[in-house]
Amino acid sequence: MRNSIRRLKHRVAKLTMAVMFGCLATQAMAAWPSDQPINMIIAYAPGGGTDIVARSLVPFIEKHLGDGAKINILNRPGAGGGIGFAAIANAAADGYTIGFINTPPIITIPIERQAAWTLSSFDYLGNIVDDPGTFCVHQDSPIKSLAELQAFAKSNPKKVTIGSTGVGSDDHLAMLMFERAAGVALTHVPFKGSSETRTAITGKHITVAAINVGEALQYLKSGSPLRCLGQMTAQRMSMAPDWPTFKEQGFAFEMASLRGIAAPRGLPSAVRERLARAIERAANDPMFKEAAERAFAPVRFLAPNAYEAEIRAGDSQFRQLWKDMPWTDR
Amino acid sequence: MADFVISEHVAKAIILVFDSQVLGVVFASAIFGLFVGAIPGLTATMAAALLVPMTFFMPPLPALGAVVAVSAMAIFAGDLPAAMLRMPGTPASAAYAEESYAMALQGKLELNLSTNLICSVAGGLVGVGFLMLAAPLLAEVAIHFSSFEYFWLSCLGVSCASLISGKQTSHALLSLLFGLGFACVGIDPVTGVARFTVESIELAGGIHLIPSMIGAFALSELMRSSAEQGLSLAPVQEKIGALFSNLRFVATTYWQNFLRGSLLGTAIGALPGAGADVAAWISYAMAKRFSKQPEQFGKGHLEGIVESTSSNNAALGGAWIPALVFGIPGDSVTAIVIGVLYMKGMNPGPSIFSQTPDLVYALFIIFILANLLMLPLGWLAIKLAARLFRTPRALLLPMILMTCVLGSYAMTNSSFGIVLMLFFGILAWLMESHDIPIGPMMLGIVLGGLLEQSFMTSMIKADGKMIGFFERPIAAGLSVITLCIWSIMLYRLLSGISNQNARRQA
Repeated sequence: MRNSIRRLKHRVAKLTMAVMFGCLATQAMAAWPSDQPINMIIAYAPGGGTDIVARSLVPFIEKHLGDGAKINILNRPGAGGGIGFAAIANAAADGYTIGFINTPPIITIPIERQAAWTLSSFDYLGNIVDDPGTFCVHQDSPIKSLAELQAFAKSNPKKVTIGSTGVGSDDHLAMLMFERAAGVALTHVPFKGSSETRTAITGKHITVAAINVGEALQYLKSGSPLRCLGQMTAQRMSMAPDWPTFKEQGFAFEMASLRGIAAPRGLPSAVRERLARAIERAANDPMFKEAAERAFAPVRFLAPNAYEAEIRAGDSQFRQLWKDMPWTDR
Repeated sequence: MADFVISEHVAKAIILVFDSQVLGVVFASAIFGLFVGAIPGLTATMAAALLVPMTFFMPPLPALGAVVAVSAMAIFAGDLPAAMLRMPGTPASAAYAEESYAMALQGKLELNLSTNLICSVAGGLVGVGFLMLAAPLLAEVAIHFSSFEYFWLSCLGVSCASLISGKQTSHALLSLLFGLGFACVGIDPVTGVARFTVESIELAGGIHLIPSMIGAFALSELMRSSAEQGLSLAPVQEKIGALFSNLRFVATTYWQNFLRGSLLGTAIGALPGAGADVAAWISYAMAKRFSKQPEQFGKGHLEGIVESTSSNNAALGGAWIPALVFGIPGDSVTAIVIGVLYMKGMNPGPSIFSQTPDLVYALFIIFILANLLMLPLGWLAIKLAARLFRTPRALLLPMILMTCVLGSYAMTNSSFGIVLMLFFGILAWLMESHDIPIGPMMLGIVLGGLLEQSFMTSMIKADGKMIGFFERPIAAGLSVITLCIWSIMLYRLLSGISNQNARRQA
């Protein structure tokens, strides 16, 4: 009896030693990404569109990073994304801080006002979602196409109210681009989110809802009485094959909201490559893609270089628009 | 025939619910919600958001059940620190935090918490009841709330300021103006211009409600109690014995408050633009307005607590009404729910009732279960809380301070939250030592944004014409109520002043 206890004690001691040693060893060996969690900053509140996409994507990035990597989501909402984007730009470039950046605010905020970042503050790791814009009217509305909207707005200047998700949002910019292309004047009604815009168009409080295609499809699916007048894309999306593009209807502009992942500029190249690879694999993981598709988040993965190029192109486009028709009071 | 079909769906739903995985998930989420709700700075929304990655790997029903259980529990759990420490665990408890704390100081902590528990459960059930029986009807009304209606609703809410504090009306109004002023900080929602941000990136995001709430309620109290009472022992608590023996007392005395609170809570919850926190404020003010002993309010009186604590839990069920019927979120928790629904291949909206009726009924059953589960779990939490309350102040106060700091940090994920908390703590301390109540200020911060946004949006839509505020039927009705209340208040204020003058002359 005593013997067996002694043997047990011995075993426990051995085990403890082994565990302690093991810990020491892994601690000495461990390096990025397994020694401490990676923070992923979301510049919007929990429960928003970007937040839900991020939270569904994170398990897959963890999986493809391997080595027991752990990613924490930190919501830093406020100022239309400005607070969170600044936090990403100004974090240490050590691979422990990444975050979602959204166009157009990541581009337009530095155009509008003094911001804590420029487009050169980031290492672009990969785009995940690309949700183009659309204009929808209520089903009872007599307006059936963009040409009819243009004609109606021409004969009723400033009478067409158009709801957007806020000043400087992609929806607001789309409205301005339409005004410029169509030669009309609309009345902008800024809301705090697309669900408010949707309530307003369902209750016929506004004439047009400027929202994104994914959102519109989602609302249609849940029975909202909407008629969508087109999509602001180069080609028709597979999700909405029946909606003509704005270009087809003679309004030559595109507008979309890109949601991708970036890190502060200057990551060690090995870290950057590994992150980019893991993000690419996560974005292409069939299980993630299926869930994102169901949630009407159109996934369009862009590798780092293509992603940065698209953002830079957006920058020169919006700077021109800012010259033509600045969208905030200065 | 129809009855037969429904009962068949209900039977299927019961089988779906009473599955070990579903029940296990609901139970675990309930405990999780209890913890998150009790920690100031972590909200019901945060609790639900934390569940999203986990729901990813679950079938639809446990995924939704988890969100239901977590949010119901968190809203109740917010009452615990509100009563014990004057620190609302979630914004929904802020309206009656002072009243609850006053009761705790009188040694009635257990009476207060058990009332909170019972009313939360019952209010939650009322909300679910409406969700089950009248969802399409209520949703139809809610959808007609445009910016004009929200403007009047927020005006009504703001008018509650004078009711929620026992102090002089002028002091309450001053405090309210502070709050509305703070609500102006940040980016102007209509013109995009930064206001009062003194070039700070953090302030461009505005004044966060939660850190300021923690500072104003909890930190100021902490400073006062350590300055005035020293590190004395906690007040001796009356033994309530069996927690539920006062069920009959509350039921017979305050059933009207309970009913009014639950009904109003459901209705406000069903509005896409207002949630449990606004419901609690308005209900508290209603309780006082219709009370036979309004002078007791603020001194540890149960009446207002009954009404508002029923209201905020009823609002939860209410928020699901537009979410299920139109896919339009009634609050930030249901916004997450809608995301989860889509991800699971289900489409909220009219079709959800015809396409997946079993699931909808199963969801209702989980709603009821989650509320019933609140009784035993809440009871345990109260017992634990009461014990914690008896710890010596010298040990408790540093712990509270630490919780304040952690909670404020958690909300902004930066030290800015802590700075805000400290600022509002000192401000509230100064205000209260000059007899200016802090409740109206918090109400101003809660409603200021909605008030401004709805006013500006309405003016844009009405092309600058004020008549727009009276043209729509619901808006017109609300405007009449608001204007009546304002005239009564003005009359009282003026007659109060003339009385004072008369007294001075005499």
